[in-house]
Amino acid sequence: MEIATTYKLIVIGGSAGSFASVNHILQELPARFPIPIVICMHRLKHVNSGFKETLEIVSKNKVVEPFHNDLLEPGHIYIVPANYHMMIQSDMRVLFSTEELVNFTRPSIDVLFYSVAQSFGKNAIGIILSGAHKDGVDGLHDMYKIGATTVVQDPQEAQVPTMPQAVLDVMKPHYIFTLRSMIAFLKAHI
Amino acid sequence: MYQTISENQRHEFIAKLQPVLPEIQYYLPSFLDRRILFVMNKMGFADWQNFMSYLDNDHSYDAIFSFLMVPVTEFFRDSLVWHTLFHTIVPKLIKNDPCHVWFPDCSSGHEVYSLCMLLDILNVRNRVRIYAGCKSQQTIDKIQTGVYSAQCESMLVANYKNAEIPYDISKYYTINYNSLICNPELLSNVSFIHSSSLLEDEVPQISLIMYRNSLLYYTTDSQHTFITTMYKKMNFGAYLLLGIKEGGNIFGLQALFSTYNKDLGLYRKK
Repeated sequence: MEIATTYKLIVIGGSAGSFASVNHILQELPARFPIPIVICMHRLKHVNSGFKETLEIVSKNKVVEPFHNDLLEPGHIYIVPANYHMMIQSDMRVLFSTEELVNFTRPSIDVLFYSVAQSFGKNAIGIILSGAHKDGVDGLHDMYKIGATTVVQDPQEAQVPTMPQAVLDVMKPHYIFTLRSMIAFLKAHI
Repeated sequence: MYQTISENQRHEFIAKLQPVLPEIQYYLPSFLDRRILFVMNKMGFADWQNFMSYLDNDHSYDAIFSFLMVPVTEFFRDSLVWHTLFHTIVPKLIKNDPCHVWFPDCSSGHEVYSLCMLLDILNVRNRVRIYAGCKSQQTIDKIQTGVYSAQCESMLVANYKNAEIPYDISKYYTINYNSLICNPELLSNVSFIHSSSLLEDEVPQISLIMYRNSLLYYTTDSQHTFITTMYKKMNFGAYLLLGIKEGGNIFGLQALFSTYNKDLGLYRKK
């Protein structure tokens, strides 16, 4: 597929089994990555999983759990905090919400992806990784319909294939990638 | 595609509710759009005109308010905040009489009950007066019954355990069929204020304001208005507790308050 877009943002959604994948992606991406990356993962809100701390060790870019109204910057990896929905405005500012659970979860990948579809249109990349959930499917579909580039981890490679497979059941994303191909794509096109 | 409403529809909704809910004009448009759709969905309206007709005919608006507001759905949400309230902040506050606490926007009562339990454990409940502002009488009535979903219990227990407060919490509630029922006696020191805006609330000088995760939904200018209003109602050195992710980007906060602990959303009046 021909890529002729100026990307402004990458959003990644994952659930069960995606932690190692996120780790691997961040480890491979070069320092001073030109656009911000936002990662929304389902995790227990009562437990400090050490998620951010672990990513800080492997990532060559700064890992941040943002505050409301923070401005997303290149060279930064943003982790959606537990127990808040996160949305991104077209001016790159972060909005949080404690509104009702969506798909039985907060944060919801759908909520993040919807906001990115509305704010960035074709200038965003949405990625769905491993997970035992369907959260993120509708959001990625919205991104697709509005012209964003959509990527799904190959279900055959995903530790838990339910989430990437759920995407494939309702839409045909632009790419179905192994992690290796996904990393190569991001390095080549950003 | 994600459902949206038009700008004209949003303005129409605002115009109808503004007389009874002045704060509605200060909401972020994106937030208000989501809440309008949520209200319509919850109340079974698929058609906009039918919804508008209903608003024209229902002048209590209690049902609308109960769905429009974002409820807190956990007791002791953000355990570390409650740990700090228990071990550090409340013991400091009660050194000065009178001690007044204000919840400017109480939507479900979870936090009011949590604080009352905490004060009772510290044996200082009768030394603290709590003012809880609610936008609907229906909400006040519901809070006063103390009835919540039994599913709240697992969250309550987990959050409370993480708060590391070394007392048995179970004496403050009972589980009955599908309900968790808080002991209504806990509210004996709480005065509920039915008001449409915190800007109108009449409260005495306050030692602690708990206004968590509410400013998230307002425009920058109105955040400043609310912060200034709260500032004027506080004692020197009083504490302002915001949500843990609201942080230092709230317009006007840094000028009037010093940061006590940003990760807890805890600030002090300068």
